[in-house]
Order: sequence, then structure tokens, then C-alpha cells
Amino acid sequence: MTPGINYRNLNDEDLLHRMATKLDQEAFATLYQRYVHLALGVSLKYLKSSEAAKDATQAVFIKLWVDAAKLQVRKFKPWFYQVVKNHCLMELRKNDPNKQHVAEWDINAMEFEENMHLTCSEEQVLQFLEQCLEQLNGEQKDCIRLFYLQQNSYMQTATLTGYSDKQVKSYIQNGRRNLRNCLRQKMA
Amino acid sequence: MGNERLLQILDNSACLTSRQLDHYLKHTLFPEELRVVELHLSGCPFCSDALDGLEQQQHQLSVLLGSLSLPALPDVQLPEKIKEKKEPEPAKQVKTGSTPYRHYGSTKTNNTSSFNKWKMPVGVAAALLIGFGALWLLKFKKDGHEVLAVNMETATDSDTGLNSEAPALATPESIAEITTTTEQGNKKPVDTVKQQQAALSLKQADSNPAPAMAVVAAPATKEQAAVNEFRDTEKIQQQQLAAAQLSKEKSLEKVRAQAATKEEDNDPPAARSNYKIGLEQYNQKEYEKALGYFKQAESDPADPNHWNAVYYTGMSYKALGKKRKAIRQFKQIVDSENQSRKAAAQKQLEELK
Repeated sequence: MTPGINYRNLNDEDLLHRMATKLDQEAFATLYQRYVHLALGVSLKYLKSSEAAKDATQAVFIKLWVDAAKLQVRKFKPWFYQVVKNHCLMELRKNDPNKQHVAEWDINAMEFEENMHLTCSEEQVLQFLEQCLEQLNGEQKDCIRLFYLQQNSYMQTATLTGYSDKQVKSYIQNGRRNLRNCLRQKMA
Repeated sequence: MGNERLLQILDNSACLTSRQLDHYLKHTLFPEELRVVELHLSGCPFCSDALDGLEQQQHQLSVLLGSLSLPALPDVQLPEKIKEKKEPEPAKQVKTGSTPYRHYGSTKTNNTSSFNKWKMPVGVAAALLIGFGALWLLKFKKDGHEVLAVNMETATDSDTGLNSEAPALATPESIAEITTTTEQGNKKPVDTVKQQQAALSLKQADSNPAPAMAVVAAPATKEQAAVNEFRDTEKIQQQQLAAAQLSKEKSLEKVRAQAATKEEDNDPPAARSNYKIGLEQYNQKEYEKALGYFKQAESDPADPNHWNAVYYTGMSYKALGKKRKAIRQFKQIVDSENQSRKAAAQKQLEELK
């Protein structure tokens, strides 16, 4: 809409702000381009059917446009992820009175990590991280070492450890989260 | 063993693009980019969830995305406060629309519709004043002419009448009559009857043509006064409109200035504009020119587009057939700490070798 602005250089929050204050459709289109495939993927994961996932993705983005002015979003990404998930959840609840899926996911749901503000030197942080790494359980420790320190890919890590791809992924993600939590505690 | 790599768990990179996801699923990523993608996946539940969902699908991501278009956006109302900012465009319309001052009633009200909300009171007031002025003038003119005609009749009548010494008494009376006629424009027969009565009283009072002429003159001057008054109101209208326009232009300038400063905030450094110009030239296949701009843009290592500039310098060399120089550029990227252009540079290197 406004000439001379490269929308790709704007961050999510700026784009959302433009949508809210100027009804900027190009800002919306930029956000759409940034996240449509992710929203679609998440919808696919939960709704299984590609048609339902497409509908859910459209609905979520329309909601985003309509509600942009009312929203108070500090961090767009985790918020939007939650919105997509909640939408899928509601869709499933409509069709599934047993609500089995829901309970399952709530346990698996990973909370988004906030940016950490490092209050001490890099060496100090590294020292803490190494201590934290030793506290992890065996699988997580192994996978974290292979993936982060020895720079193996997910697949190589899976081959080297004998775990399945899914397991490796989960060990790495959970191990990472535990490391960060541990680090936060140590720095506090 | 490079324990500092553990610091990568603190990394918060941007989410994966659909191309990255697609290539990841197809296992066609270059090792460097695969590393970047997996590092991101390890810390981003959004992307890894999306990947889970897409893995389960037999359809390709590109096919799915192709069938999914940007949704039709429903109309949304902006909150009032912010609306003011969007006002400059209608102001131009007002400028062109407000020049014909002759068609007072209709055009004025049309113009008010294109006024913006906060200009509305001024516009409405202007339209009302002009409208009333025009109505008054029209009415007065019509009735005034009639009165004039009648008075002329009475004047000619009174020529044959008697002499009189008290014109002063009769004139105010007839003027009062005339004013009532102007107020009751519709009741013309009644008015003329009244007028005749007035004329009769005039006849009785004096038969000299002079007072009658005075009577004629009186409404005439009154008409004159009305015209003057109307002109005054018109003048005031014009002044008000001019003032409104001026303030509109001022606000327009203000908005423009704001927009300008905002855009400056977004892309201030010269290095970036060099990069930008370079890109434009590059897109127009003016590689020699583009090269000059990219070289300048690349001279500042602190610039966020530094590596893009380095990359594009290489691309420009490549386009110009300067293979060795291009390879040197891409090697520089691959050997650097920078991640953003690495995979592409690697790819370029392999193409060039």
C-alpha cells in the first residue's frame, strides 16, 4: 500500500501493527506468505484431512485480519501458533464428543521459548550449559551431543543412536528446552 | 570438540519458508541449509508441528499451497482515532469540487459529503449559510420584483391622485407591508390585495410621485442590502472554505511528513539504498551498473545487507562472465560466519566449478 516499504524487512509485530492501524492488506499478505505453510502443516497434523486443514487455515487468517485491531500481541509467532492449534482443537471438538485428542495434545504441547537475555559472559553461560547437559537423562544427553556438538543431522543422529526419527526429534527438542530452563535457573 | 556450539540452543531464528520445508521433506537441501533448518526445527514447535503434519500427507506442499489462495478479506472498520491519518486523498477531491461557487445549494451539499469527518462541522456550516443565503436572495428577488412592479403601478396611479404633505407616515407602513409580502411569498393574491390597500392608503395620504418613488427606492435599497449581505456571506464562505482547505493542506503536509519520517526510519543508511539501487539495476539486467552499487553497499561490513551485497556482487560478476571474480565472492560468503547466503553461495560455487 505504502510505496517504498519493503514488507519483507518488517517483522511480524510491525506487520500486525500496520494491519491494525492502516488496514494494510499488503502487510497481511506478507504475514500470510510467512506463515500459511506452517498454519497449513499444523492444521494437517491435527485435522488429518487436507480439505479440513485448508478450511481451518483460511478461517484462521480471516480471523487474524478481522481481529487485528483488537489484538494485543507482544510476540506474534507463539501467539499465532496457539491460535492455529486452538482453532483445530475447536474443529475437532465439534466432531468428536469424546475429546480424546485434546487431552493427548495438551501434554505434548511445547511451550514457546522466550528470548533469553544473557546477563553473564559467554564463558559463564557455556560453563552453566555444560553442567546442565550432564543433568539431562541419557537419551536427551546423547542426542543433544550428537546434534549440537557433533553437528549431525536428525537422520544421522537417528542412525548413530538407533532411535527412530520421531524419538530423536523429541529428545532434541525436549533436551533443548530442559537445557534452557536449567540455564535460566542458574542465571537467576 | 567445540562446546561453544551448545550456545546454539539459545538461537531464535526466523521460521522456515515453504521452500525450506518442501526441500526438507524431499531431502534436497544442501548440507549447510539442512543444518540451519534442523537447528531451527529443534527449537521451534510451530515449524516442527507443521513438518509433522506435512510428513503425514501424501500431497506435496506446493500442490496444497497452490490450491490455497489468499482469503477474501472482509471489510473492517478502523478505530476512529487512527482514521484521521487516512484523510489526505479526499482533500484533493474537495479542492477540485469546490471551485464552482454558483450552484450554491446543490454543489455545497455534494461537497460536504466528500468532506472528512472532522471537517464536517465547517462544511455543514458553510453549506447551510450559502444555502440559506441563496434561498433568501432568490425569494427576495422574486418578491422584490413583484413589489417593485406593484409599486410602479401605485406610483403611476398616484400620479393622477391628490397632493399630500405626510409621506413620512405612509412609507414605513408600506415598507412593513412589503416585508410581510416577502415573508409570505406563496400568498400572492392576498399580497397584491394588501399592496393595493397600501397603495390606496398612499393615495389618500399623498398623491405626489415623490414619496411613492421613495417607497420604490426603499425596497430597492433593501434588495441592495440583501445582495450586499449575500455577497458578504459568500465572501465569508469563501474565506471559510479557503481556511478549511488550507488546514486540510496543512494536515496533508503533516501526514506526508510523518510518512516520510516513518519511511526514513525504515531504510535510512546509504549503504542500503546503494544495495537497493543495485538490485533494481540487477533486475533490469544492467549488471555493470549494478556491480558498482553492490560494491559500494558491500564496503560496510556492519550493514545488515552486507552479505546480500557480497552475494549480488558475485551474481553480477557471474552474469558478466567474470567467473574467477564471482567464485572469489561466493567463497567469501561460504567461508564467513554468516548463514543467510551460505547455501546459495555454495550452490553458485558448485555451478561455477
